[in-house]
Amino acid sequence: MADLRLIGVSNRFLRDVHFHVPEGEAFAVVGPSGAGKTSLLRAIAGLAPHQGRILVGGEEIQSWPADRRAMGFVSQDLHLFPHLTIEGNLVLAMGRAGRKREDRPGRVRELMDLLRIGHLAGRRPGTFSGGEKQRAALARVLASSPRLLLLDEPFSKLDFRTARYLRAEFKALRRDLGLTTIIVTHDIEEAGYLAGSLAVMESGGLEIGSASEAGPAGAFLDTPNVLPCRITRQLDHGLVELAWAGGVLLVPDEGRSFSRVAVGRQKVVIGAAPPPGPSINRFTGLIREVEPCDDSVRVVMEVNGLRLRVETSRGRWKRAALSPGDTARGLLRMQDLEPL
Amino acid sequence: MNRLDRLMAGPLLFFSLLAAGVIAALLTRVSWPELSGAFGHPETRYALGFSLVVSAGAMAVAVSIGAPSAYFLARQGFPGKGVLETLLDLPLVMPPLVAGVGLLFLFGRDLLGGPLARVGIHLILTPWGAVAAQAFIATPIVIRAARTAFESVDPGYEETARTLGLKPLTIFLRVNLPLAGRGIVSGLILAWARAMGEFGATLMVAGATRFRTESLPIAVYLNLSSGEVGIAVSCALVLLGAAFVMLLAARFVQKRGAGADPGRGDRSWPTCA
Repeated sequence: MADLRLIGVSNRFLRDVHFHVPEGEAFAVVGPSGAGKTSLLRAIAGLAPHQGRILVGGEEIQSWPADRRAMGFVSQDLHLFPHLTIEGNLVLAMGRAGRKREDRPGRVRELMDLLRIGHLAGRRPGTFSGGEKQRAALARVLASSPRLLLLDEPFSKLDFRTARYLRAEFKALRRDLGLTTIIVTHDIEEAGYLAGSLAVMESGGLEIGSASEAGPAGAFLDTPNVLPCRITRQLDHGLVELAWAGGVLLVPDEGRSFSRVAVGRQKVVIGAAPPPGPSINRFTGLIREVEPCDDSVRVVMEVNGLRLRVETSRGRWKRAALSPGDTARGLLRMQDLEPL
Repeated sequence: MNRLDRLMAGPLLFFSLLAAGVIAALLTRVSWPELSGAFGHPETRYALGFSLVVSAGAMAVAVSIGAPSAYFLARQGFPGKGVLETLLDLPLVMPPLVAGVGLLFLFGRDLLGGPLARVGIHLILTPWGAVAAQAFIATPIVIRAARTAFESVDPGYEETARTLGLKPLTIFLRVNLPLAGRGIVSGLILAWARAMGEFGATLMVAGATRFRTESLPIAVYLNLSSGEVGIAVSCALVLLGAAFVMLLAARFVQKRGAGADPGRGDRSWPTCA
């Protein structure tokens, strides 16, 4: 593993990107769709032409082709080779590692055990679950002995529970192996959880810092609401009941205690009438502030003295027909709540 | 089945009966003892062996030329590509006799025949000429099928392979070729069936000499000319049987391939954010 430095990297989708990731650190790039996040990873991996300098371990690699750069790029679609078993995928990826042919089976077994996919060794990826595919893709990329890991929205296609589980696993794995990693995500909570530092990307440009320091570029981010809460009782079906300013919340049981839950601004559902569906995780509040933006509306609600920030589309806001001072009904969906 | 469906089934039934009628008409021309004797006749056996060997050789040439050509065409854009692709498709619609005359002139003494003869290659009126003629007819079919197959592979697989450090030849052999494999194999089977039945071009280049350049279609032609209907019909039936099996195999491969789509995503090539 090595450190990574980008100096003035530009192309059709990127403008003058600079940053440095120390060896063994994780760095997250967050931003909305079309901001250039994937283009940044593709430029680093050597899959897209670019100007500017890229240094890995002090060595300039911008003129190197992708196969020489030794970047462990895991794309959003993973692209596990469907005609090969998982074992075959890993063995093929070892070509670059310069490992002796007789040592490869041992290393393959080691990696599959590490990612807990040993039982899938002889199977092809077509029938795997999302989580199994994700593990297999990580095992394959590690088999290629990369100098860096480049992960493009690694957990976005997984269901809520699997994503949370795998995030925790990956975090521990990354720390244990000391992998220098760039993670691209649109989820600022994921970015904060996985990476020590982050940058916000908008229209191909990058601003380094935290979401709150990101200034105008950070305005679009789904900076979460953090809601103080108290666990009131354990329920069946792996759920716990919480008390918060808005009343009662049900969330998945983490098997640990916590006193706050996070929910993204764009995940809060509000309207003048109660939202459809079962009557759990509902609340009522007052509309305090309304700020129209380009294609969305930012709203501040007051729920029993707690300020709740909400971002919704212009169309939905128009249909809700709410104004400051009105009483609004809201819903916090269980899958959008993240115990902290 | 509604009335419209029944109406549509009429033409289908008509043509199916016509196709079956053609085969039945061949069978009724000879008695069963005559036919079974003709199947065992040395000339029939020679023609079958010759056809298999020559068409296999032609397929080896067609794949060697067709697969790399298709790979290049599937990946590269260049000025005049449309014209080149049309030129490559031309042998598909060219009357085989015309293709044969062209090959005869090209490999004749005045053009390439002289230089080839000096290095020991003689194509005119030899079995090698039959290989060349059949390869000329089969190669465009291979190119067309393989190009479509390569184009249908999601470019993300190749990109992933590159970031894993694989070299271009390894990517071609271990990633692109297997992922395009079903489409290519299906095209190969069709091309092989076409090569087995090739007559006009083979006749012009290799001639029609018994026990020398006698493929199954040439055997049909020679024996009909000399009134040996039994051998002619038995050769025709062998040819039809082989074609039926190959077409069935192609359908099977295509059907299996439909369930294992290599999965081109909706991303363009090259991809962007």
